[in-house]
Amino acid sequence: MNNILPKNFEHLEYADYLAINGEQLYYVLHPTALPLRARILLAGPFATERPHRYISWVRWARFLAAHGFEVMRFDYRGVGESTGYFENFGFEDWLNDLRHCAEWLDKRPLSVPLIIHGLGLGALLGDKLLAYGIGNILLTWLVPKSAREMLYEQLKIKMANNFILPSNERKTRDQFIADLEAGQVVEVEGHNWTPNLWAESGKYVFGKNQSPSQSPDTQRIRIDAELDALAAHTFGGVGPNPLRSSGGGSSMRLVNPDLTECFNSNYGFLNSALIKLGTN
Amino acid sequence: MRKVIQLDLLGHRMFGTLHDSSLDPSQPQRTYRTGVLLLSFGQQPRSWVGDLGSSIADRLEKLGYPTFRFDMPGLGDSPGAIPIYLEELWRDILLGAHEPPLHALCENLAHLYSLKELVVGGFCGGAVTALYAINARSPLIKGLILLEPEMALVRTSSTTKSTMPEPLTVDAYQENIDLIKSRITSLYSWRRLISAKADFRFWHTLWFRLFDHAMRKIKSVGKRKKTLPPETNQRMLNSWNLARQLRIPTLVLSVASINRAKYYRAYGLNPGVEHLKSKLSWHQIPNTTHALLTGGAKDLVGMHFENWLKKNYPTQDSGKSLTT
Repeated sequence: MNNILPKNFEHLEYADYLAINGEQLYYVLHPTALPLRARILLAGPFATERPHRYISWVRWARFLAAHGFEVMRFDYRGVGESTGYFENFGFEDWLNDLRHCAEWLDKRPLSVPLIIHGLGLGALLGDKLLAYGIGNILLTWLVPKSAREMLYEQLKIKMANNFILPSNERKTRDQFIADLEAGQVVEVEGHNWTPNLWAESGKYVFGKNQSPSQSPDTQRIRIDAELDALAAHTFGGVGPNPLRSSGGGSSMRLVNPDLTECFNSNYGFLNSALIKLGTN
Repeated sequence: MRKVIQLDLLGHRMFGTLHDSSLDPSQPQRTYRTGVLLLSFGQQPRSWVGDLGSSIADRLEKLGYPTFRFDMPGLGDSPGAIPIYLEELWRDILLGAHEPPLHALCENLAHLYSLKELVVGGFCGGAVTALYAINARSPLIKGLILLEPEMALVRTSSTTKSTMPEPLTVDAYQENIDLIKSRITSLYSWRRLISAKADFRFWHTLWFRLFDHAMRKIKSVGKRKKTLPPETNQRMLNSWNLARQLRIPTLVLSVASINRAKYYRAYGLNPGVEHLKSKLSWHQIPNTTHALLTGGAKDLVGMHFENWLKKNYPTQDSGKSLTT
């Protein structure tokens, strides 16, 4: 067992749904019993990555709650615990989900800064939301350059699956994209990608969002944090397992590694940003 | 309609989801209560990879079966301690780490939601836990649905240097046979051999282990009782046999592939063969992978769930024809 198990406040956690356009948007709230410093809205990764990042993502939420933050995480519509069919939604809907959660947090008692923390897709959406003037701090992890790049990367899963199937569908990623552009639906790891999803992805490029409503006196802070090798491997499947010994036999895969170092350094970033905002 | 459930059981806080059309006040209230409980595989959250679990639950809800999905302690949203390494977690699950919370969960759900009976289903390691549900011989458990059940215990190797190669598992044996076949037919492989760049260490270890595996197989020829592979999960096999003795209706869904069929046969099972006497129904899903998602499997799995439940546990809606 690792040593970052939450020491408290798990008993306060609760999950429920928010209603949004006839669907149930699943969320989990991690309250804190410490004096409230800020609220953090966790915007998770894309559907295909969600199950593989879940355990560490939840532990990060618990770590933050144990350090005086109230944390909310949620599932995008059509994904995980939220209702709806994946193929009926796209980036605009998921951005609305994020905005909906931010507004819900904003209505909670005690006015404190709102931090949006995005991982992968969540970072792209958080970037847009901050540009719309929602949130005080944006923390991003493993942010793709664009939604197109992210989808292109995820198509590797489709290729890997097809490679081991007896079917003769041996296509390149560009051929799958051509299918999407031709109006076809492409199934990737149980989710049906629609032409609309691909078309919308063109509008999501990180750091290219201009704020139409942001007043010049409102200070907003962006932190694009670089993760250490262990955290990058855990949260994004980036690089080999850094805990594997060179020359070792069959390696053991990580499910719940000790991410204390990553958590502490990002906690430090958030502290500095809050001081900069003058709210701490 | 979905509802989040949070239960405190045996010192664990467990998060789950109920899919039940009767939660919707506009729907007619139903009197039957055959519940379905679905368990995720290994480390995955309760919606499963590709949201297969939630997709199945949505379908069953429409047929009138209240369907529950739960995160076991330490997984998904449920707090708890789990090991650092995946293989250790899998080994714990396969050895029955989730059995006590499962028994408590079944009893609680039956009590809270006035269920007259429960069908327990699970995927991979979750299927093993589901099978353990019958160990308590509770009259509540009236059926099992096992997706890609794992018959072998997972090896947990150390991260330091290995010394002697361990005997091959059934899976590894089949993978190696496939590898040999592909290497024999590969021009590049022969080129490496001729240019003395072949991976001699690989071939040396492989032949030794294949010989060892073959010898074990030869030794079991002619014996009345089949010699099972050393990694066999005996505890799970006992539960399997108990389910057959008790004639508990069981649906098994597995990938239709030659290697997967050989895998199950190595542990003395007959994939794809229906056994009416012990109420075992086994279907193989073609052109898909272990996750049962690609190649239309996600839909096909849901259809098998629907048909099997309607046949074995008819509800008010059972007059509807079986899905084809």
